[in-house]
Parts: sequence; C-alpha cells; structure tokens
Amino acid sequence: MSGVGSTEPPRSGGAGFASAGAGMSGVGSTEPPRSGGAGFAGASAGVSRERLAVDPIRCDAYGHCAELVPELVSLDEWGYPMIRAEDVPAGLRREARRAVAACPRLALRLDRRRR
Amino acid sequence: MSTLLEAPHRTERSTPTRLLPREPLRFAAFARTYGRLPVITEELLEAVELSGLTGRGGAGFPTARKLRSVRSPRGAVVVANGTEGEPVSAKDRALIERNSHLVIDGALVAARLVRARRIVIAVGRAGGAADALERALAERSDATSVSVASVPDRFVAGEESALVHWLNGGEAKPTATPPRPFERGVGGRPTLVQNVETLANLALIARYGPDWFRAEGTIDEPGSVLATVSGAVWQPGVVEVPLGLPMADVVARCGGARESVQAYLVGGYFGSWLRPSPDLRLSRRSLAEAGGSLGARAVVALGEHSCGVVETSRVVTYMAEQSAAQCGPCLFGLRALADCLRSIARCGHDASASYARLELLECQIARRGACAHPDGVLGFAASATRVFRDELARHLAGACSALDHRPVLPTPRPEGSWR
Repeated sequence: MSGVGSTEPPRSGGAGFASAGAGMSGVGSTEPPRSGGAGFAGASAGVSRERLAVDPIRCDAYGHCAELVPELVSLDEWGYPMIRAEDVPAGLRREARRAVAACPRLALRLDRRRR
Repeated sequence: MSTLLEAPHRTERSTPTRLLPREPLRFAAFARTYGRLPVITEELLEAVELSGLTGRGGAGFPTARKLRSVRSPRGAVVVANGTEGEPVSAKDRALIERNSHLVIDGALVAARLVRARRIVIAVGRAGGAADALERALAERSDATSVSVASVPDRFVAGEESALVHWLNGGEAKPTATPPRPFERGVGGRPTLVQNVETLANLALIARYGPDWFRAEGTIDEPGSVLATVSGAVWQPGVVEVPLGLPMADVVARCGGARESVQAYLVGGYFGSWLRPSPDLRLSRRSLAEAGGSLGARAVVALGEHSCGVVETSRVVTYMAEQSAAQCGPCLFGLRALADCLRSIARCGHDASASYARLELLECQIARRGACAHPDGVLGFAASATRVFRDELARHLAGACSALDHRPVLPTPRPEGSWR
C-alpha cells in the first residue's frame, strides 16, 4: 500500500477487505494501485526531509500536482491526488515546489519533517 | 467531606447507578442524592489522573492529560459535547434528560480546572435534551456562565472540529487540523471539548475521589460507563455497567437476547462487527483483542435470522450520505463503497465484481479524509467482510440465506441544514 499517501497502515489494522478475499473461491482480487513505480531505492541519499501533503478539504481534483511530479503523486479514480508516503528526494525538490506553487486551490504543501 | 459512605447507590454493587438515575432528577433531589460540589482546586487534577478517567465520547483519551493541555492564561472555553450523532447511541441524551445537574456540575468543574469563563453544552436538536438542560439551568444560580446550543443532527456534526466550526458561526462540518480545538477553538480561544458523560464522571470524582471511582470497572479501565444496547434484546435501552462486564451480562441487563445472536456491532457505525464469544467483554482491551473497539459503548445484537451483509450495506449507504462532502475520497469513495456493498447485498450478477473492487476502494479511501469519517466507515465495512464471510460467499453465489429482512440498524433521514 505504498501509493496511498499514508505514513501508517490504515486503521482497519491491515485486516481490511484483503484478508476477507483470501481463501474465498471464485473471488478475484485486484492489486492496489502503485504510484510512480518501485524505483526509489536510491532516494535515501540527499533526502530533503520534506514531504508533500494535501489538504483534502481544499483539494478539488485539478490534478496539476500529478502532472508536475508523477514520481510522487498519482491520482485516484476520481482524480484526487494520492501522495507517496516518503520524503521528497533531492532530485525532485524543484518539481515538488513547482507543484505546490501550481495548485489552484492552494491545497498542496511541503511539510518539513521533524526528526 | 466526601466519604465512600455518602456516595450514591453504593449498596447495589452489581448494578451501579452512579450516573443514570431511573427518573429525571430535579435539583433538590439531585442535591440530596449526590451532596454539594466541593470547592474545586488544582489538586483535583491529580485526583483525576489517579482515577484513570478516560474520555467517554469514544476516543478514550485520558481526561487529566486533556485538561492539562487546555489550561490557558488567556481564558479557555469548555464545550460539553452531548450531540451524539451516532444513530445507535442514546446514552448522552439519556444522561442529560435524567441527570442534567450532574452534567452541568461536571462542566463547571472542568471550567474551574482549565480556567474557562464560558461553557457551552452542545446537544442535538431532536429529543428533549436542550429543554431538560434549560429547565435545570433555571433551577440553579451557580451556572450563569453556561449556555445550551442545539446543533444540526448530522453524523459528523459532533466531531470536535465540526462542533467548534459551527459554534464559531460556520457549518457543522469538520475542518482541517491543526490547529486543534485545544490550541485554537471557540472564539479563537483554547477549547476543551469533552463528552457529557466524561464531565459527569468528573463531577463524581470531585465529590467522592479517585478511590471511589476505581471501585467499579477493572484496574486498567476503571469506572462505570453508559452503554446503549439495541437489536435482538428484549429491553433495548441505555444501561450503566462497569467497564469489563462480559457481553453476555450486558445483554442480560437488557432483558436477554430475543434470538440467538450471530454478531454484535460494537462502537456504532465507526465500530466493528464481532462474533459472540464468552471472552468478549465491554472493555477497551477485550474488544481490541477481538479486533474491535469500545467506542461510545453502542452495542447492537444481530439475531441469527437477520442478514449482516444487507445491514452493512444499508449503513454504509447511510454513512456515505452523511459525508460532509468536503473531501473527494470520502464523498466519492464512500459512495462507490456503498454501491459495491448494495450490489453484493442484492446478490446481483455484478456482486463478485463488486467484491473484487473492495480492496481497490479501500486503498483509495484509507487515511485520506480530513476527519475520521471515511476510515471509520471503512473499518466497519471491513469487519463485516470478516464476520459475515460465509453469508458474503452465499451472496456472491447468488442467494441471501436470511429469513428476516426487517431493518435492524437505524438509518435516519438526514436533516437538511448544516447550520
């Protein structure tokens, strides 16, 4: 569930719908969407300790963010951004800032991470 | 001087009625029963901490810690939350209607502790809670700082940021946080939003002390709680029970089960379906071990002849309609989830495709709302797929096995206004 913009597992405790499907014959299962591919192994070097975040109340699904930083933002089936739960890698800093500035609803922001 | 002996109703150890008298208590009878409220000093904070009192609205946060977080030299506000938008809970209304003065006392005590000058008791519009409070306030002279507010009857209106937003003149919809109300709430002031049952307990601890409080419940989870029990029981209603009471005893206090119980819904529409088990107790720990949560102690017994899949789909449809429609994943996600569950409930040709879609919907909804609404509904729906697994499989195969299709869980028509 790397693509759902969460820092923690969902509150249903991982025992969500997925577990109900296991062992039930004749029921297909669908892979959860994964944004931006799996290639973030090298991202730990030069991490900026900033993370993209969206205010879901402000967001109106313009989708500019996903256009500008597809590596970090994908869209759900209704067009709302799902943000990767990881720090913005140094190489994408500029794009991330551009996405924040481009949001027509001012819903996207960069949170500085406290460690 | 408060002693253990003065405490009300101590003789009936098995049926504590600390909070909930049988009949509404007018001020004179209330004063006779509970005695006078002592002078409140800062030492009470220590007593509250020792008592182990936790929030009774559902989240269960330690009350002493919450009280300490709000104390402010600028003058705080106390909001007593009795809105209870949860359709299967009636305990706050019962408490207010039968013991208004204890709630008012609790709000006054909290105001002393956080140095608040303004107190608002917020209740839903339906029912007689506001009238009961106004009548009680007219009976006493020490509560001029208290006002009563009637909040729109919406599921999310009692969420603390929604409540604060409404009290500040906005719609009763959750707002983005931070700031949380304890930082900046009503009128921009630090605001303590505390459930009315928690405040009633605070008024009791102020009188009788932490040891008295701990005489009920368990060591980890002391005190008694109000529980709303409905569904397949002979006498549905609100009962006061010690924390840790076995679920079978909770049901027995409500006249026993009308038919064999196939599952309990515990914690309301943000809660979980759980299978009956002798180990199941009304405590945070026991319910967590069973994969559920205590919430505000709303318990619905689902009889063996009803259909858990159909019930779940009706409630998720209701909860999708109750979305404040502010966050896309909540508005569209819950609608899609409800569509899927209705298709499964109908045993339609698309039921299997709908079932297969649940997982995809889950990861598009989970943790993506401004408030707990979407995650709460998701957890409820997910618990149904675990507990009603066999019935779900029958639905996917094309037939519901339930004999009784009368609705069990209430889905009231939403009120039009958010203001």
